[in-house]
Amino acid sequence: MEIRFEQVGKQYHGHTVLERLDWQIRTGERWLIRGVSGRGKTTLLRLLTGLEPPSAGQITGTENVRFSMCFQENRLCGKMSSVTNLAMVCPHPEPEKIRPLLLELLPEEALDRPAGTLSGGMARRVALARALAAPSDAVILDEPFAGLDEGTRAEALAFVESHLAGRALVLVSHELPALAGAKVLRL
Amino acid sequence: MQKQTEKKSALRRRWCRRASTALFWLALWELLSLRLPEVLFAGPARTARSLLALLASPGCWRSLAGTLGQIAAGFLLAFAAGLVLGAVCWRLAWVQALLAPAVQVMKSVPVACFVIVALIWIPSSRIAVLLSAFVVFPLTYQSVFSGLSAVDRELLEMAKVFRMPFSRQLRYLYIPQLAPFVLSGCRVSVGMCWKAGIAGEIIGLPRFSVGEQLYMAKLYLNMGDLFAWTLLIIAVSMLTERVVVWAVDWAGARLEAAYGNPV
Repeated sequence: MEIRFEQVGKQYHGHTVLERLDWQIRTGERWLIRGVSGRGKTTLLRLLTGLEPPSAGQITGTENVRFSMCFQENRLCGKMSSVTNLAMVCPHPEPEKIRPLLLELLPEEALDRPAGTLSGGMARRVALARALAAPSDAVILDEPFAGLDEGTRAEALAFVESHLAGRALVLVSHELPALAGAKVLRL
Repeated sequence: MQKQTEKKSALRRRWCRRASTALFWLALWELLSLRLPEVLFAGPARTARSLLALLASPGCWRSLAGTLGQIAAGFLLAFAAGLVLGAVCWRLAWVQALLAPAVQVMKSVPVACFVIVALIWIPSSRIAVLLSAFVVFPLTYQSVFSGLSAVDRELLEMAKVFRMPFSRQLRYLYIPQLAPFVLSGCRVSVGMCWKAGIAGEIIGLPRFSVGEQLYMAKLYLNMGDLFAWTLLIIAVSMLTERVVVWAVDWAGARLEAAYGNPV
């Protein structure tokens, strides 16, 4: 896998969000994206995952790349359980793998509850678990630790480290987590 | 134990409320029948007698079956067309623009106007099929279109990023969102198609139909029969509403089972 951004720019209604960005991601690389609010961090992820086309430049190498993502807004099916939320993105879901994965981040009683009834922090962890449970070549995490206290954040970071399994990681975070071997892209 | 007792007393309260409501309306009906001339208004006792006599006659069942068949055919045709076209129009804006005037006409033209024109084109024996379809189609079409439009865009983006197959998107994102809209559309349209279908029959007077029976009762000023037929229509309409809602629920569950719960 090698994804290339060449002179990529993005404008919304005449307002420039990203300008002339050159960037490369390869298999197994870890990237931390930093920048103050409004500098296009989430836009960059939307371009990377193909949710939006660039206004200028080109992005190559994404054609056969499978992405999994933890969105800023969780984007869980509120009426369905945490287990189902994970299972629906796995082509061959196995409960004996999904439940233990979730149990690393959540108490057992939260697993079968509708995701809409979970607290903000719990829902965040389900969204994070979903990104790592889905089979993918690159894991994209947009502010995955937002709303988590310090202890839970450390647990979540350890969870990310242990379940990456050689996949590329792109992580957007205001705070710089101690992610081993990560490169930093400042916007 | 305490919960069970509470449940029982809530059930008893509900039944008491229902019984007292029924008694109130029966009493009012009886009171009105005492005040109005018998030739213009049938009381509960007379209506009950007429109803029993009707139920014992084979002609009643033949008329009911005839009308039910016509209305069911119209409902099913329009429901299927509404489901398909609602989905197509949600997907293709140009088809929606093309169909919009036709749907608007169906929603706005009074049933009576349509019956008069329709009777020139088709035999009166098919009028209830056409009229119930005429009423059900725009309701189903609109509920499917609105249900699909209400599917969370953010969840659809999530599905795109995770490359969820369409069958799973249907199972987890579309059907749960669509089901309440379709069910509520069904509830409204079943009652409406009975009203429209029978109105059409009263004008078209097809043989062996409820509309014909109502017309005859009115012609001979047989208020007992008229009221009894009205009660029968209400009962059958409520029954078909339940059957349709159950069938839609069942179809949704079968569809879910077909795509399988992932765990």
